[in-house]
Amino acid sequence: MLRNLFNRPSYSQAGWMPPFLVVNVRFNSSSTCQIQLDLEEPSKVRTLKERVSRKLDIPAEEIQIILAGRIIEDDHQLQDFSVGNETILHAFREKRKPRCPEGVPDCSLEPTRSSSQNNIYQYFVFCHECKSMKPGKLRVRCAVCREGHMILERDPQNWDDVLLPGRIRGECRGEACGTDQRAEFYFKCTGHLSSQQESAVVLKHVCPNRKAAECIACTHVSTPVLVFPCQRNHVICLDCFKSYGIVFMDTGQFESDPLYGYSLPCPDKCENSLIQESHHFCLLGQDQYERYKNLGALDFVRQNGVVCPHFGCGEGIQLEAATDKVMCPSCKFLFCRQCLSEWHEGPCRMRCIQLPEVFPINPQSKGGCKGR
Amino acid sequence: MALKRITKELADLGRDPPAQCSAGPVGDDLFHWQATIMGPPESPYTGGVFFLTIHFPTDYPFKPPKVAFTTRIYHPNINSNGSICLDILRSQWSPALTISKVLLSICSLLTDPNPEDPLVPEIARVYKTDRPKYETTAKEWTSKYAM
Repeated sequence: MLRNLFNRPSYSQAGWMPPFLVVNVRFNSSSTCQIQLDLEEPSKVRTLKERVSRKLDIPAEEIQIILAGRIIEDDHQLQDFSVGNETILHAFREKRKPRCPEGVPDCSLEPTRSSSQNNIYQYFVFCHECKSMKPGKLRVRCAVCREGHMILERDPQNWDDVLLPGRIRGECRGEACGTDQRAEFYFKCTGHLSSQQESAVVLKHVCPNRKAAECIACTHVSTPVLVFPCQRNHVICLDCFKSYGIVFMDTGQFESDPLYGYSLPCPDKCENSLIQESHHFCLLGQDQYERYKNLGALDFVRQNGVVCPHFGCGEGIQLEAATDKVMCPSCKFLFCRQCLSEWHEGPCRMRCIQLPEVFPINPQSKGGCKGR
Repeated sequence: MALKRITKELADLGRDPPAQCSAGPVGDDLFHWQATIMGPPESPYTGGVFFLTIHFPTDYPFKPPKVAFTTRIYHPNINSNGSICLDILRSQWSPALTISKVLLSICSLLTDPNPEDPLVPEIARVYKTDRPKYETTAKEWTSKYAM
């Protein structure tokens, strides 16, 4: 298991790189030793093991290094796994070579380094500390001891494997745990140094635009993008997603879904295209996200009850009985559920003023011009 | 965002213009375009050149463009103000549509009017009950206003 604390793209973007790489090797959850590797030469896993061996006086061939749930081979280069300064690697001591999938190609859990810094990340998170979207790192730990000495029995194949608990098991190499343990996946922000327990919310619909798909709105190709879960996988760039969210919030076109809450479908109105996780609306900006949460709460209250109309109150009231006479539990205002004015016996006096619709929306009509 | 998209559509129209249509900005304002449609050969509008105005809203393409004829036309789904009765310009608008697709839809509306959902009920009635009269009037209007 690898904890990558320092590999911030900003480092190389700023044009300054430290001439050496300092990694922390955490041994059996107890001791951590710091290893300095020269960046001039490629840092192979074997080199790292030799340094650890010299420092701790353990034969190099008995040291195994774990990265994202898999043992990494001697010939792999640390930089391939975006190991950066102050990264913590997990290690354990074992005489025989442990069972391990053939070759371990470029670990599918961790993107490999490519020429473009923006392309090395596969996942994006919303980081509350950085208050923005940042590239994220997928990490694995044992669900019991919460330590990273975990070798997965298989790689996750889809989001459910990662997001739903208990779908993947593994061998925990911690001292206290047994072999067959539940693996727990979590995400970390690459934008700042974070503690071992800190995690960030993954934005599962945001991903690098590897297929160079055009944005459905502005038709430009950018990366990363938001991909809707519809069958056609409509793509929207993050700038347009922001505009889309704000326009649809302004016009009250969000939908309420029993499973995904207050959400947006793909702009082409495809079936089953709702955004499945509300933190994606953080991408609209902090103010808009607050507005989204308020509108979502209001929508929920309206579906299940009524909002107190008394000036300055606005308490959400859940209604169980089918009565029109409602008393606000907060301000004790007694009002009519139908016309939202002060309680009255008999029919409502105030009537809604029906504003003429500029564009009557009739999804069934082919021409849409009835009566005009 | 809107400007980026409009610029891209303009470039695409220049590279691959749709048959019988053309469109472009009126002046410096990229949100205000003018378009022309040649009367389709299989219709009484053949030989005519019809002008339209296009106004893009600032939240385009999440809202549809406002498209209207400036040339008078005798058609059940287009009224004397030039307003067009077309679902994709209203409830069925999708950001995946473009001005090019809208103009092609208008062309097909000229070939195949939709009298079941008319904007001008009188023209729809003539279209349904006396097709030769509709064709004659449409041809007359075409030569009077669009040639």
